[in-house]
Amino acid sequence: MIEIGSFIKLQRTKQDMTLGDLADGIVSVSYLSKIENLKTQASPEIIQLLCNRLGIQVDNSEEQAIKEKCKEWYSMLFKVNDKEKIIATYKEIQEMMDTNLSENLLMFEIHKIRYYLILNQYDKALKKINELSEISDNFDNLQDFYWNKFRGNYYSLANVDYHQAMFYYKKSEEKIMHIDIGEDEAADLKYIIAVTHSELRNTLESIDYANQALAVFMKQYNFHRCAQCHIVLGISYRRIKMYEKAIKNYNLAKHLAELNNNKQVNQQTTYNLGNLYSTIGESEEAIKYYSEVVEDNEVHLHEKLIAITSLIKEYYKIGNIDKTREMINEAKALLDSVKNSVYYQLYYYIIYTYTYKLNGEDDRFKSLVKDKFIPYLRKNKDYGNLVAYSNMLANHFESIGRYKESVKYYKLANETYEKLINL
Amino acid sequence: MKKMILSVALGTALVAGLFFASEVPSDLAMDLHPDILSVEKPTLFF
Repeated sequence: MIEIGSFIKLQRTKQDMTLGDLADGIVSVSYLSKIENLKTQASPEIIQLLCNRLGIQVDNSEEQAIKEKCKEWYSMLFKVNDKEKIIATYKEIQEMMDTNLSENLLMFEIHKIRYYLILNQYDKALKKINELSEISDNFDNLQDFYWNKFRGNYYSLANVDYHQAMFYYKKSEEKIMHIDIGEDEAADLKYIIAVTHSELRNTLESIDYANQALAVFMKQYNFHRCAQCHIVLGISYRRIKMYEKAIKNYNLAKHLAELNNNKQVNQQTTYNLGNLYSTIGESEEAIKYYSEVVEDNEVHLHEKLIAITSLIKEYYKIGNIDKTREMINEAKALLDSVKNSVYYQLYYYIIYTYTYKLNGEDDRFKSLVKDKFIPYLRKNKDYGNLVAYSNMLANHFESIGRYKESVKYYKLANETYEKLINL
Repeated sequence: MKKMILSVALGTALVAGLFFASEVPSDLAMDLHPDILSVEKPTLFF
């Protein structure tokens, strides 16, 4: 049963009422505070009066209906579903919750974090996290499992802070042995942890978690998630130079994505195959894969932008200036349409770094990379790009005879690379 | 004397830097990780 104090606090804050507004004429402010923080048990009469003021019925006649609707909605949040349907079901539940004292309320509120993330409404997700933080001490193990998982999701998606995300995922993982959840739900968390380890370049941990998740998804014929696990494995094996194994995983991902008719996963794999061939120095093959992603009109903007950016680098690497310029122009055209994205800044810096370099605009190049791009990469702990662009700046200083500054940035590249391989 | 020590130090660091430049790690690719939410994203990713 939901703790009545937590319920009252949640409803009061949702309605922007102060403790005084709600307590007025019913109980003292300090007594209401004790009720909300579960420090005392109020009489049924007082609870009734407080609920009347909040406009809530103290009955559970709709409890079964609420329970079933919630179950249906939670399931929608975990599977590929129509967003309109998710929104419609959410509204239905919210209407019932607004007028009933339901024991499903807290779990519903926790799932709203994921709901807002799915809808890309990151501000609302953060607001919900802050609201729930005040009562999170009273969560049971199951609520804690989702609470931490979704908080981790927020840090992965909205803040791109994978260290913080991992902190919450681990807290969520600790709860698994104390709760009764399906194998698929536990595997979903393992998969998310695998992706996060990979983002943090913890390659061996990533392989371990991806394999754990894959074993479950295979049993359940979840092709979508199996393909995604194979992408994570492909990236990991490439990083440890096991290229054949990486290609094998990418091919499996592509095959499963085709079976599932999943264009997105298919092109994510194509892009990563491009990275593999770029890494082993086969630029022509890398360009072929990157171009396939860029030329696909159904591919999402993020995939397109990262592929064009990689084409800029690849053409620059092999000295094809005309094509580099052409890709820069295409990338600039795309950049305008992603201004509100968390990735905008990164792509902006990369594209303009190459623009200035190519045009021989030395001062602008130096000023952008040294004063803006490198501090940005340091702040975001983006070690891979930090090595690449510190090295590029060091090369530049060296080419114009400014050896002292050149050494400084070679040193930065070197130290960052050490950090990268020791992660 | 101080100037000479500084020059030697700078020269050593530069050689180390050049050595790093010739050995730039090849695997600095920007990986594209799969989504962590299962639900399909809207048409526009951003």
